[in-house]
Amino acid sequence: MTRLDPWETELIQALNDGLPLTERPYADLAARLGVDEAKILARLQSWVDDGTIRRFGVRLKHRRLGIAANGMSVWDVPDARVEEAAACMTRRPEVTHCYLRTPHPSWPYNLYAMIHGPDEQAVHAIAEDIAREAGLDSFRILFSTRELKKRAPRYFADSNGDADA
Amino acid sequence: MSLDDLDRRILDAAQSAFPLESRPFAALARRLGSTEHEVLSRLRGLRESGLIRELGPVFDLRRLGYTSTLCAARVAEPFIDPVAQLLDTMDEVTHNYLRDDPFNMWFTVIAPSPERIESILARIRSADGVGEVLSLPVERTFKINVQFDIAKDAP
Repeated sequence: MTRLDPWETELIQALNDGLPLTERPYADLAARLGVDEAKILARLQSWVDDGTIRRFGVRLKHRRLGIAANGMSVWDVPDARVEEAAACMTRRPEVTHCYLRTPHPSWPYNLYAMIHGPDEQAVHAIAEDIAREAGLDSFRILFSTRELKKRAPRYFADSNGDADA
Repeated sequence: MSLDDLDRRILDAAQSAFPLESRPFAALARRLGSTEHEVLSRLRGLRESGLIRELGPVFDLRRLGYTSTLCAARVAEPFIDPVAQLLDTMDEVTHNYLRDDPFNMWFTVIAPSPERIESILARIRSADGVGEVLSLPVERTFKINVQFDIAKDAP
């Protein structure tokens, strides 16, 4: 876990709403926080380098970009075959996320792969390909029918009074 | 909205490795053969139109001491809107989708501690119309890739 000084916590909090779209956004942040611009730039760079920041850039609303079908495929895979099954999934560019999750008596699926495609049929075809290749038969694809909420997490925000630990 | 070629190239260039220097939009403009003023005004327009949410860092939440889980809930049809509204008021709920399954509401919860996540789930479980709620935390991440080729994918 990354150790955070109080000013760094404030910096992360200020970045919850993203960078201001101004000529010198880091200087504007620096003025707000009462720290040097150079110090902010150096810290952000070190967080990019050590992986505390996974990506620095625009956060898009993907639905608006014609990435039409977004299927969550869920798979019931025996523990011993998880590795091999995940490899079949992650090497495909259409699979954007792949996770092993704790299953539940009401929900036996443990491997999850988000599959993006131009339409639902294409997503089904990719899942069937994966199933064949990995020799798996117990899977389902859940399509989202409505996006009710999507936004970036708000770190160290006021409503998380206990977030400073 | 329709994107022109420069919009797409700006979005592509600004998806990751955004310049960490004093005048980042000028740096971006140099790369694209444009001007700082033009790049900024395009990005402001794209944000106003809602295509861009924000421009900034995506943190590894675990590195910041946070924990998260994916939840699946069975919500009775007439209660979908009020339950969605409740989740909308919760800062800790970042994504929420309806999916075609008896577990029809799928949402993610991000909080500074497992206890905090439990108390949020307890509030959701006690809402009218909410049946079983599963918490399905990640045990292993095999792939996270949120980048898209805008120039190719955009209509």
